[in-house]
Amino acid sequence: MTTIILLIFLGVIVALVVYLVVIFNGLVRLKHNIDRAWSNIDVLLKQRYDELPKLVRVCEGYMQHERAVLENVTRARAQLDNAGSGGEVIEANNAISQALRSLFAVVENYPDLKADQAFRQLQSRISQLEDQIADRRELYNDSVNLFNIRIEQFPDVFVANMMKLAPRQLWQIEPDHRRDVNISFNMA
Amino acid sequence: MPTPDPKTSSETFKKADSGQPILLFFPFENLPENANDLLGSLSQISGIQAGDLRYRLAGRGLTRLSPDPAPEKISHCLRQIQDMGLAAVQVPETAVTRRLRLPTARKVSIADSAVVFFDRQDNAVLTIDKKTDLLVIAADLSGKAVEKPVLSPFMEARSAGRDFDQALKRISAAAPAAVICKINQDPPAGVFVDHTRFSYPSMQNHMDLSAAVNFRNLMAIVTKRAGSAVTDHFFGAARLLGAVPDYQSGQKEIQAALNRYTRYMVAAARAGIFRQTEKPADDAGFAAIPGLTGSGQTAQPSENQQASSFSRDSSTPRESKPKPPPEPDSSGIKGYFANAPHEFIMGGVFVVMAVLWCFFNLQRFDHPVFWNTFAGIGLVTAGLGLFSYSLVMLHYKRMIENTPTSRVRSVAMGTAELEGRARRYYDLRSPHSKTKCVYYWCTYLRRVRTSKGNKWRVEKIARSGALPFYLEDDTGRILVRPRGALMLADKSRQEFWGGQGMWLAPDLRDRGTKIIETLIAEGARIYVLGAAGTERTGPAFRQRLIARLRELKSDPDALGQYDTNNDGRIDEHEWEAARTDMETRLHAESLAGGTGPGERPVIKKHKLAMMPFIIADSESAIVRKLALRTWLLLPGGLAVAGFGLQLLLRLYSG
Repeated sequence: MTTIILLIFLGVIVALVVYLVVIFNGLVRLKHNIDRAWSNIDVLLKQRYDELPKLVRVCEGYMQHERAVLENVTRARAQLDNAGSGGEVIEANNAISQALRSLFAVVENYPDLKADQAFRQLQSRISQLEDQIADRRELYNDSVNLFNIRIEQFPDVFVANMMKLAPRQLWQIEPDHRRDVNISFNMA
Repeated sequence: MPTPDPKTSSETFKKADSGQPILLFFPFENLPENANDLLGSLSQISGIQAGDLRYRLAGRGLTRLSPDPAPEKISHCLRQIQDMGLAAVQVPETAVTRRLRLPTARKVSIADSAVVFFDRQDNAVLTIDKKTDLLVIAADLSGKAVEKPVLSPFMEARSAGRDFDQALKRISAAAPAAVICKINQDPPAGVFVDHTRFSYPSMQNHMDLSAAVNFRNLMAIVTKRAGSAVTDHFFGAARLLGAVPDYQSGQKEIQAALNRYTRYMVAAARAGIFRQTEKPADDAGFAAIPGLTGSGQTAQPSENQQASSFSRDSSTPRESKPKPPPEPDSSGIKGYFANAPHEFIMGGVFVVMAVLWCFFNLQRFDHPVFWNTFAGIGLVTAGLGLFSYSLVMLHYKRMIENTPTSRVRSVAMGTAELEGRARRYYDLRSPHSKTKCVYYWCTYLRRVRTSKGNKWRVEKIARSGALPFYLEDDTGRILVRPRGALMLADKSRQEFWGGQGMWLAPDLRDRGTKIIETLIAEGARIYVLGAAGTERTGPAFRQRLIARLRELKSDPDALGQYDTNNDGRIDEHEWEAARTDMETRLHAESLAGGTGPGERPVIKKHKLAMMPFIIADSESAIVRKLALRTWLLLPGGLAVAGFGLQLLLRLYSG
């Protein structure tokens, strides 16, 4: 009888330890998933960053009267160079997206530019990158959300507290960037 | 019908009404593959995500778009949609929010020149004559005939291209209804015809014995008597906000949704979405606006629209026909184990080891302790095996729960979770039902007599093998190589019973046979968790580099650029610089294309054995299955192992 009780007790202990190990490993994976998701966005942001000077160069030839729009793109790119913290990087990248949106809207007034093959290729490439960035941003937010939920859920919360895991921040759009884009058309 | 030009009409609407502008258009039946460029550009301008746009730009029936309300953006979006070859107009939101008064027609009076509808009190509520521009929307109040095309992709594919008359035949089998509306009148007048509440005898000499034929005749008569008619049967398939019927909720709700759909159609028609052209000479058909095709629903693109790179032909193949599949690489018992999880094989190895250990320690099979020892070791091994298996399942379950779902377009290398529809890579069909599929599994059973009665015995298992297939979502498609996957998708199962008859397949010409066919059909929704990577489809990087360097050698001008010391020959250092430059260019080209020119994204088994590779119906279904296995086998495995251990302890401690 004592043997059976001992075996049951041993079984429960083994099951508990194994379960805690699974939770621990799961939390570690979630933590690294967030970093991976962030790095995957970074790869695309870098690609977009590299395309911007080419785009501005192509547009400059046609858009003599839209200096402000082009400068916005250049300024947003420079802002990214000077960004230090994660929050600043997010803000700078949001600014680039906003500036590009304004640029592509204004381009509608320049049929010659729209017909330029180099511009079309760049526009298509940047649009693809923008879509991919948007998708990966969602994925990043999903990863963060899963992590934040897990570390507050029972029984993961005990392991998370032992590991001293703190909630991560979601990628949010700045309130300024939710506003409508102010576009002025200088029809020459 | 005084149909205004779409551009000017939208201006008129803007001046007349200050409501929020929206765009109404008829989408592509199948989005062309080259739509990505314009989708991206449209997404930038409208501020709507490309995925959402893709969803709205492909489908059936009138669709709406509410882009960024800035007037410049609205007109840019409108132009872009029209450039794609789609019939689109801009209307103020208020044009579709005003409720239409559609009295229910109970009777009809049919004359040579006009058709008059009457309500319950015998008041004439609608008169249709040659001056009338008509809109007829066919609906099905039961939802039986219309719900299917919306929910089932196969039905939808089969119904593509049917004209209004054929659609009526389909709808008439259930509970047909229609909205008949005069659109050249402000406010538009119309009636609602409900098959169950309509008096067909009032049609007199136009009447038939079949109520369904009467309904069709009535539709044909009203469209013939009108000056022009626009017919539509895609109510129920359209994706208009608030105008999608909920067939579970009842007729009143369907009617409310139909009213809303009619409002959209009226607003679109009045804004000039259907272009007016010359009336055809014959009076045979009812689409008196010849710009409309078959169903009378989709407008022909204008000349400049036709010149656009977009094709609206739904029959245009999206890709070349899939290749025939290779012979199945696995069958029978060998086939079963070819794709079995490693833990089953490991369990078998443990059992064999336990038997060998017992034999070598006791030297005799008939030793009294042998079987008890063997049973004890067997139970401990089996218990630990079950326990380990449950842990693997728990690990997979948590992995699935902890991995967010990616989109195909932006899937990053490494572990990825995707959801979408299965598409064939090979022209694979299941052996018995001949269904187009990406994977099948056939179990051949034979009835055998035993002492306990009749029993089905498995004779053979035939599987399609680990053939690759595509997973497609609304952003693209990716190749899935299922070798080594835990296949938990039980999508479609059919049983074929044996009998006597020449029409039966040779395998089934025996009453004592049965075949169970399980398959993942083409277009079925699937879930995949695996390792995303790329595979080479073209020459390797080194081969491409050699080809480039050969090209460079054969072009003296290009080679001359690397002659930095201008001595007329390329020395070792200069050649190294040229080689490095070519390498950099090739890498840059690979990066610019997302993947290299000869590479394609693929989902396959991870190199690490512990990382799961799962193909299932859906995320929730697989999590449920794994949770059940985990919580049954984890305590069960421990209990079995404990029992075995106790047996061994009792045997050897005494």
